[in-house]
Amino acid sequence: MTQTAEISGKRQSRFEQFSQWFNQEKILGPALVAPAVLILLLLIAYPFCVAIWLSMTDKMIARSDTGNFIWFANFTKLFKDSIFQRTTINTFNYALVSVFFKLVLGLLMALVLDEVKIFKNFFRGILLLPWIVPTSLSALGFLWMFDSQFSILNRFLLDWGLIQEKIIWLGTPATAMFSVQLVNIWRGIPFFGISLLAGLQSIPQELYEAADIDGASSWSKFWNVTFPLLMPVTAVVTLFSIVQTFADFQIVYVLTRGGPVNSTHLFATLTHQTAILAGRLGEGAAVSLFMFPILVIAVVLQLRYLQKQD
Amino acid sequence: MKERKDLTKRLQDGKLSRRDFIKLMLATGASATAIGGVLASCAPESAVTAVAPAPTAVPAATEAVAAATETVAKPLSVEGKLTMKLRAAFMPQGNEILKVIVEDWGAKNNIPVEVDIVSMNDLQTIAATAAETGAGPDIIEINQGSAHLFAEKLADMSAVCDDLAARYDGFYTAAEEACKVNGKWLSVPRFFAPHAISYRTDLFEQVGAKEPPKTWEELYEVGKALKEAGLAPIAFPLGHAVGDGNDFNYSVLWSHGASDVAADGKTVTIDSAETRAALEYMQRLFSVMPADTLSYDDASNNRAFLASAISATNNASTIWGAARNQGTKYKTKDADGKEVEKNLHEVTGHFVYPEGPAGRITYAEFMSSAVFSYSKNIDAAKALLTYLNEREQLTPWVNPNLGFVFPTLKGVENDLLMPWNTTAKLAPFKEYASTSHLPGYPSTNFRSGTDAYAKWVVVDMFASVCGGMASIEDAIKTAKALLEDSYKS
Repeated sequence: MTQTAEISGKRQSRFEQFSQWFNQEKILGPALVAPAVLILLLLIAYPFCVAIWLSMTDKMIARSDTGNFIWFANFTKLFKDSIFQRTTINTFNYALVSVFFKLVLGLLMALVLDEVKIFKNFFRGILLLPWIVPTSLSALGFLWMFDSQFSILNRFLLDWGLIQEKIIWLGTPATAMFSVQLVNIWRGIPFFGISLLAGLQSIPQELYEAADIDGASSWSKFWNVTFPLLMPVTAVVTLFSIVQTFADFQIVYVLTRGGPVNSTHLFATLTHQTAILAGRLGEGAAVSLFMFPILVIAVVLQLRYLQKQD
Repeated sequence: MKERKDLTKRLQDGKLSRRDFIKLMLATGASATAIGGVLASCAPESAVTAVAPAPTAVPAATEAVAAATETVAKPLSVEGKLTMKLRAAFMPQGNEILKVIVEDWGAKNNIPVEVDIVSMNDLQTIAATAAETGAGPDIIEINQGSAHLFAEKLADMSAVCDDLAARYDGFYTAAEEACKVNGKWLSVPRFFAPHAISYRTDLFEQVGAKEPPKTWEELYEVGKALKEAGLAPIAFPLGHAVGDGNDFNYSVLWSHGASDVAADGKTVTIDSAETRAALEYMQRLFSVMPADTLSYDDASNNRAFLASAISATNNASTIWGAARNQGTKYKTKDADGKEVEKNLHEVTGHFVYPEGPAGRITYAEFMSSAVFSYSKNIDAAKALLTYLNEREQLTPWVNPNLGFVFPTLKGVENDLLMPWNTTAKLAPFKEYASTSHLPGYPSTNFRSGTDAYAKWVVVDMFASVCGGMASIEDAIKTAKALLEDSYKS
């Protein structure tokens, strides 16, 4: 009897010792961060380093040899490649136009939602839908809406007399780019809307009351109170969106596969075409890495801005 | 026998699903051939004259039977399961019976099998991932010249192919082009998805084309007449349509005597008078086509035809098949000028791809079954692939596919129960396999041909000229630069 009590006492004290040791900040902190770091290393850092290595080799798919190290030959070759040149212009056009409209319309959505007092949760829930539905699914829906034969958009526009002839949404370079951008914007607005709404609601009400006392107009309240205080959230959300939109794949893959005549190819879809379909892993990796410097610049700019705010 | 008749009746009345029907029929001891025959003739609005054949109707070669029994008799073993990913055919009944045939083989040989039927576009990504990571299904159906792409990682299938070739009069040229790499069969030819031009016989007749066009020039003339008469136009895909787009544009190019590469597999020959002639022809043809063909994917032309919006397009037999299965109607006027609805499949005909100055040369839409060397079940996979490509298993699978699949072995196309022999409308699909080639033709550099194909060089060359995005000279210049890059490696 006394023996067991002794043992359990010993055990307890060992456990306590361990938990005391574990509770120190220098141990507990790293221990808690470790799983996240491990995942990042395995799933992000490792593939990223492999991609950099691949982009400097002429590795082909399904070959046992690791390819020859060719320094930057893939990159210099891409600069001369007509499809790649076109893709670069497309990607910038696609990302910048889409993010701009997502930001403006998302802000508008947030401002309106902030004013809605009845069925608040219902409206918020329903407006979040485009963002929740899997992209490939909604893109398939849009494929029907843009269908040259059965386009419901054309039907409305014709009925309302806005156009005289069917628009071939996915058949000309300009309309095809517009179409894929439209889907991206439609899908991305709720992300901006809901995030900015959260930002709006964290703005202290007193500031508006003070502005009211000073007799500020709605516009002046927006410009002098809402806008500056919403800036940090906006910066973060825009950063995320730029990163995501530059790397977009599904919408273009489902709607046009990069056509007509490569006018909607993005870096990601061209990467798939080059690496998976044509089997040029090295060159494909080089295409995908072209996104990297752009994204680094975006991240640095935004982080700097946020630091300044602090 | 009575039991089988009951089952057939229940299937016809829609009281039994096709899958259950197949299972129950097998339980009665019916052969897959007999089941396939019933399935083919049981689609609604049947226009097929095929009768459900007695199980003994197939004149099976004795050696074939002997070989088949031998395969069955050999004890096979697998590690885990024998897994396979197959391309989904557009005729659902074809996929269903194929699954049954494979599962039946598994049961007979006491081998657990797992069949997954996926879309063609997913297969390519699955195969590439499998090749690179060395893990994945045992058998993957790959398209076109992919065997050349994955060559180093594929198991040698020469034993299977040589055996099948010896028994069934050899494979078509395109099958060899796709699967034979440096003298070795690295993938087992599976099927062509044969193309022909689907057309509206009634509308063609209205503009005086009682016989279908034989040359590209005649096709243009009919298209022009249809446009001038204000009837549904002809329409051929110019978008990034993996099957239909490549099929049409490569065929136009080649049959004009042009090609992207010389026989040496290195010299790019796209900058030629023949290419200019092909492009000028397409420009003219496009002027009588709807402009939205620039956005066509593989399904667009089917939808447009089924909606009576176009009067001709290139496709597998699936337009006619869908019209028949779904009982699609078209509107027309009867003798009194009253508007009536009639069955679309009755006025849907097929004709072979027209001839150009260089005759008829078509693009092969082609699938083969690859086994990657990482597989631990290569022997079982070989046995299954042999089994699947034997006459006894080919017929019941090809038949209900109603022309969507065409065998790669020359010796079976004349079998009584092949759909083109039972259904007059499907006869034009019979010619496709013998006139077809893979991208890279007329060279044997199909590895580079596949690269150019993956980049859409030929389709985009035609599309950019038709869509007014480039002049003929500029389009050729762009294509030439891209092709030189492809054929350099």
